[in-house]
Amino acid sequence: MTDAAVTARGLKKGFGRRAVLDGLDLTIEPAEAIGLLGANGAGKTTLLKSLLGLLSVDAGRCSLLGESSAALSPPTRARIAYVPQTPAQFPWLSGKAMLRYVSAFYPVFDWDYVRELVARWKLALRTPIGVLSPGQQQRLSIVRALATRPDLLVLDEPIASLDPATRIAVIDELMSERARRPVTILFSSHLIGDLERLCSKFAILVSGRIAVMDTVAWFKSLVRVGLEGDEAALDQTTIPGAALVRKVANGRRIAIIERAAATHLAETLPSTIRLTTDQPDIEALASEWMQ
Amino acid sequence: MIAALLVLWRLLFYRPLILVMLLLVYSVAALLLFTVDARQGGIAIAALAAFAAAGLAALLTDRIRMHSLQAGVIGLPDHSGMMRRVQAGFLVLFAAIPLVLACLLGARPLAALAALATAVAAGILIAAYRAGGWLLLVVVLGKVLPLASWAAMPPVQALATAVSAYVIWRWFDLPLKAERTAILAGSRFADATHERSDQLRQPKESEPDEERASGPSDDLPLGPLSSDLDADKQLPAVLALGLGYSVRVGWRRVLYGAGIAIAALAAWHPLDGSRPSVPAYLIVTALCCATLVGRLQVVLQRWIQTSTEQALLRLTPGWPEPRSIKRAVLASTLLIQRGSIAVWAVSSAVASFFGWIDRSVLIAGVLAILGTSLAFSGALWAVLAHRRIREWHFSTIASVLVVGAGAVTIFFSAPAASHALAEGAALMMGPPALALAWYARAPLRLPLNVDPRALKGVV
Repeated sequence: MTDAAVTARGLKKGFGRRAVLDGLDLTIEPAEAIGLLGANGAGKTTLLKSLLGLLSVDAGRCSLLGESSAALSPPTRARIAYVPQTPAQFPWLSGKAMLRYVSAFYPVFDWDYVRELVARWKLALRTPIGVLSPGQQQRLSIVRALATRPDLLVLDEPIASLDPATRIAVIDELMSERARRPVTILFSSHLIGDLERLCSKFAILVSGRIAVMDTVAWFKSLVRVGLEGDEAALDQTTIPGAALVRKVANGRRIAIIERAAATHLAETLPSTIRLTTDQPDIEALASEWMQ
Repeated sequence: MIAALLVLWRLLFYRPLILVMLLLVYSVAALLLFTVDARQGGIAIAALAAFAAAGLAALLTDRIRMHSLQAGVIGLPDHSGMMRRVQAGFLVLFAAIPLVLACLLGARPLAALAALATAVAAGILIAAYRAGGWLLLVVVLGKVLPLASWAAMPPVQALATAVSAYVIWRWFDLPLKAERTAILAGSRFADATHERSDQLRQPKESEPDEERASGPSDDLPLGPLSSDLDADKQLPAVLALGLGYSVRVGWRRVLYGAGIAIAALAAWHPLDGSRPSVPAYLIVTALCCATLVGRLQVVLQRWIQTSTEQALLRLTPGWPEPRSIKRAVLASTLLIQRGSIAVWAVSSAVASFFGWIDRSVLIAGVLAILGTSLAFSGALWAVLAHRRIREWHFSTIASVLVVGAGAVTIFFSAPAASHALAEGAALMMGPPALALAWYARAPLRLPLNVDPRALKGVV
């Protein structure tokens, strides 16, 4: 049996008295591309850093490519690439110097691929990274990560600073990389439209845990159901197959449910409860979990 | 005004070491009150307060300029107003109050005012305009008459006060000017290439070619580093490059530094006639100590600021084992001090050879440079050994104070008093030895766990 690319079990991490990760479980199979969603401050970066072994966790364990994150061997590290949230890495070096510096620590660093991406993304390699625009810095960081030809690519909001055309180009590049090789991608971003093109699954991080993780197709099959009526009746109502039920106000609930189940929902509800249904996009659906 | 004083505190004492140094100066001033006669007490207080005010004015000017630039970029409202109130608060606390105190203790008001105002203006000039040319004027004047005689003349005091007042008056414009400069130069943060200044723009930026990615690197020793990094002597340099500092010694700079120091010593010698040029030698030693501390602080700051780079490097397969990294850190700590120590050693050797300084002064110099090196190396290792890097660490202050006490003990002990010498040596060696042992035993923190407040003094 093949090891999962990423595994986390009972992961806990807090800063002071604030628990950021609270018993989080996560499994990512090889060659999957997961879009990690969550509100600002939900703990996405903390999760990624914990998975990579860059933060010591308070409890739980995590492993990457079959090895504990806390003690990754050099061969496993060679198979992992990370694009951090901060775009300006090694700002005192030029792009060329940075790539050469980092390449010295890798057994494989695909310079042909670097040249191709540099030409395609119009990167200025002789300028000190610190004076590049955030977009250029971010692209350079992605080039650095891709040049190592990783089996596991962890990206922490890498496209937030990019213009739409470059964002599309970066996502296209990651898609063609996935088409060429079975690379596992864990991609944190708020730009759900871009993730939708790249990822096979979405995971939504809420209150220190993965609230929901499923395929993009499943998310697309969901509808939002609004329930209005007597508060007591709503309290007693169960919604079969609901992925999420949220109390919006007294006498008002919102449920996220599969389209097929929603069609039969009206028949099972008491007549005092009014029901409305709409088909929001994934962004609106995700925001329901994040509220 | 309370808000302005709080801002002043945050601007000046962003490193606890600054507060410690200030307290040391004020402690010496307090001690002087008991040792000198009543008539001289006032002017001694004014002189020491002026010494502190000069340093603090330079520091505050630098900090105000930095923050005003940032405020200008983001368009912070009324930042310059707050900075002006901070400047006023500074003058009240570090010039006006010492002036009143000095006058109450018997100093002539004009002399005390001249000392304090000139000191503040000197600090401002050096920090704001990097203007030190007037020091030459001081040297030339010293050739005509002893400087003490000049300083004692009321017309000179009045002139110095007037010039200083003008400099201080202009100083109040600095925040607004810096904000305006930042607004005009804000294109550094612009996304579009054409908005950046020409000097930052590279030729053919939009036409990357193969040579850029594959050509020989002109600035880096980047061969196959990953093969034997653990055993490689270049690891401190490689580590330094990855974290944004350098362990190389600019020998040309060392040569210039030593040349200037020797020239200053030589110029001072005839200036003071037959007396040995002790003040000049002590100034040279103090400058070398300050440079040495600055170099070590750069290493610490780079470690604190580069947690992202540390994370990336730690994930690379060729990154050396923690033990090798620790050895490289220790080696870097020593290598980075070579330049300052070389300048001091050459100046000391020349001064001793020509008889400009006597043995006791040389010993004071040795203790100063050695103490500085030991105290701040130890402080650096101790900070890096901490589980979390905070805004300030007691270990830094303790290291400086204990090593300082050891140096003073050795200096004032009689040559035959071996137990006093041993005590002094133990005090000097103790903190760095303890810090070294702690750093060796503690797990390597990579990336460092840095409290965000520790980054507040960093741009």
